[in-house]
Amino acid sequence: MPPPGTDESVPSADGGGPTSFRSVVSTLRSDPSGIALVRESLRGLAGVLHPERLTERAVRLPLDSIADVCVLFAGRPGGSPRWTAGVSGRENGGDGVVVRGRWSAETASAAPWLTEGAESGPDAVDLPPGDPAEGLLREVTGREISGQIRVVPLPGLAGAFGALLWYRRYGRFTPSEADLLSEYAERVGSALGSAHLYQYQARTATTLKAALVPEPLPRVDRVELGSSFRSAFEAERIGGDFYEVEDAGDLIHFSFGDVCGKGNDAAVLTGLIRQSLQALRLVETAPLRLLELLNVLLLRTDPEKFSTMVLGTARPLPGGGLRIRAAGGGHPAPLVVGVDGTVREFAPGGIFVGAIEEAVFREAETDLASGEAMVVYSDGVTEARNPLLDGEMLGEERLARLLAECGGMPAPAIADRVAQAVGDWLGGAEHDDITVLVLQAVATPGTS
Amino acid sequence: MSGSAAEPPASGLDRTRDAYFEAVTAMDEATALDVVRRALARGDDPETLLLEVVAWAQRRVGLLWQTDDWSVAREHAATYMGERATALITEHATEAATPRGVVVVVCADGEWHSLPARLMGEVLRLRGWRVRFLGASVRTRHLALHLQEYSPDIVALSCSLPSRLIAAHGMIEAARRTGVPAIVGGAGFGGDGTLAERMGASLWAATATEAADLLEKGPPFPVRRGPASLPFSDEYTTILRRRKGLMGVCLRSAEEAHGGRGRVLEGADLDRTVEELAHILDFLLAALYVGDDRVFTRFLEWTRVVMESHGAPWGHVVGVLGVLEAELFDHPEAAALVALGRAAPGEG
Repeated sequence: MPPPGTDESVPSADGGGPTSFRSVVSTLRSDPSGIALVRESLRGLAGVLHPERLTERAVRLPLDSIADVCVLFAGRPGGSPRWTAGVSGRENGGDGVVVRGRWSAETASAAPWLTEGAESGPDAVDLPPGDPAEGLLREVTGREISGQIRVVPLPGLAGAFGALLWYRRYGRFTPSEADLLSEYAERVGSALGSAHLYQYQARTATTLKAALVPEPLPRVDRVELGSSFRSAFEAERIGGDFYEVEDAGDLIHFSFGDVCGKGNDAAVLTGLIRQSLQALRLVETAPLRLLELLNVLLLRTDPEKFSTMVLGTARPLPGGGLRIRAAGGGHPAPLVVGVDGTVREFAPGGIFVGAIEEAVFREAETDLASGEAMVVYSDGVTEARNPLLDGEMLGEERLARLLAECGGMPAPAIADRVAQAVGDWLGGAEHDDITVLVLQAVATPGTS
Repeated sequence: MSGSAAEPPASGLDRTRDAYFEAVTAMDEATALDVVRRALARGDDPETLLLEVVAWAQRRVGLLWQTDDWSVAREHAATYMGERATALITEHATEAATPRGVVVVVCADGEWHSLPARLMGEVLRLRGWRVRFLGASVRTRHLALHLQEYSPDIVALSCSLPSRLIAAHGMIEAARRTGVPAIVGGAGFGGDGTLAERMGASLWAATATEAADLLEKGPPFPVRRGPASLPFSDEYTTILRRRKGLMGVCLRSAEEAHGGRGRVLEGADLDRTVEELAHILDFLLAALYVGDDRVFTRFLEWTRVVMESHGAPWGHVVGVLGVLEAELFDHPEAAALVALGRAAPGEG
């Protein structure tokens, strides 16, 4: 049998090796308040939902006040369990350390207490001499073993097993300390169980969110692009704003929309529109026709679901500037900001996309002079409410006034400026998705 | 490590600075980036370029905006050039020899000055940290979710505006609850570590270099056990609750003052007034929350300079403060603070 603890070293989050720490508990051992202190700090475990950090905390907490070494084992039946050991500074004559490692399945099988207690509940037991845990303790402390070792299974880990070990070099654990160990294991077990569940949920949510967050803007010659996307996601109100910009060589395609509804349904619809547009562009690139096709497609998928939209192309003009061609579907009209701060509306009009079969859309065209910028925004911008002014909405007039101060600013700075102004207006209040996309004709042709 | 051998001689650095700053003031992005590109090609130290050229220029831009009637557009354009220059320097830099831990860099909720945080993040990256930059104005909830999921070694929190210290404290607390320590910095915390400590941060750094040096001693970093006992003043909570009402009273007085001059407060003027009043209340609340009068008085001193240089009448603010002081007669600490704020800048 290989020496315990050396089967495989598991690198820690910061690159492996033991990590030292300053002990924050300085109470003397066997002071009864040590128990109170551990019990008190147990509460701190509840807020940690990251399994590795939780484990590290759990093995540190009892050190100095109750135990010299605390080890947490976790694994799956038949597998090779990981162990995390907190070693008191008294043991190695320096700062305390947390050491990690893994036992082979063979080593684990020589420690029946690891799995046996999983169903029976958290009762502390003493270890028989020659148990592999002794070898592990010798290794992490670098000394021979004396005193007492107590282990207790961790309850609450679905489909997994775990155990907590306390080691005290001098003297024995008192009965109340043994009780504390059981209570401790119970809390750690349920906290770990929650942490694993949370990580599972968080990964799922992250995947979903990743599908909603717009792709980074491409870098395009002669078009300066800027955007700001502040999702209401954090408020558990996944909105349905989306935009995309695609570089097609001699021109760029862009789309911007806001789907009806909130939450998962909105998310699914957003994904559907983005994919549909990508597919449709393979056969059709004229904005008006593209919008008509999308309308039919959405109606066939689900007539209850619709979206507002601005969809178009931007083509650099030979003498500088950009020609914008766009079709609209019930979306707030984009605003065009001149270098001198004049603001004009660009209104392609149209009605919601995916709502009615006979919907009539039209296409509009406008040219952006060098430095001029077209700002496309969602209603989360103009409908942001100021809590200090009885929930007054920001409104189009204020937005236009704000943009009038943005003449000549680079597109990304304009997008940031709008996001900032809306954020200030909201003063920390909850909000819908706040999304801005800015397309700007670069001031000097030839630079990027 | 901070006194790197690759640091160019002072004269070279001065030339780079001047050329860069000149391009920024001229809103000439291409030239500004070119200056940086040439410095990198010469072998100038990236960290020095970030801190002694980009950050230096940014500070001067801030001063110009405050005192020289720079437009908002110009300031934003200059900041954007700073962002581009930062990106250019980081792209150019080679990977650090010693890989370190993971740092999450955030700006306090409501804090939109993200360049200082970004610069610090890039300095940490140059020193071998893996840096996740969550950007400007991060919601506390967003940070909490992020920390539970990724469990970094430390959070680096930037707060330039003292009025955002309340949000900053919420974020330090959120990190503490998940067992993640926080290093804080930025003008909002003042000139020493007192406020940072009071707010439960593990570390405070005056500059990006100092932050990087401090972090090199760890991880792990100690995390405060219990929550910091804030708000400092008991009056904070009731005034927070009355915020909307106070805003109404102050706004009415401002409207009357306009009316007295035969003008109607409306449109952009009204919005600007509301914004200014909200600032006054925010800074007052922040001062009470963290227990530091200077948070409020310094803000007023700063406002006075801005207003005077932009040709706005300071007397309006003094008038509003008088109304506020009378209104807060039942909150002695707050009223005294307002009185202090009303008096202090007048001496200067």
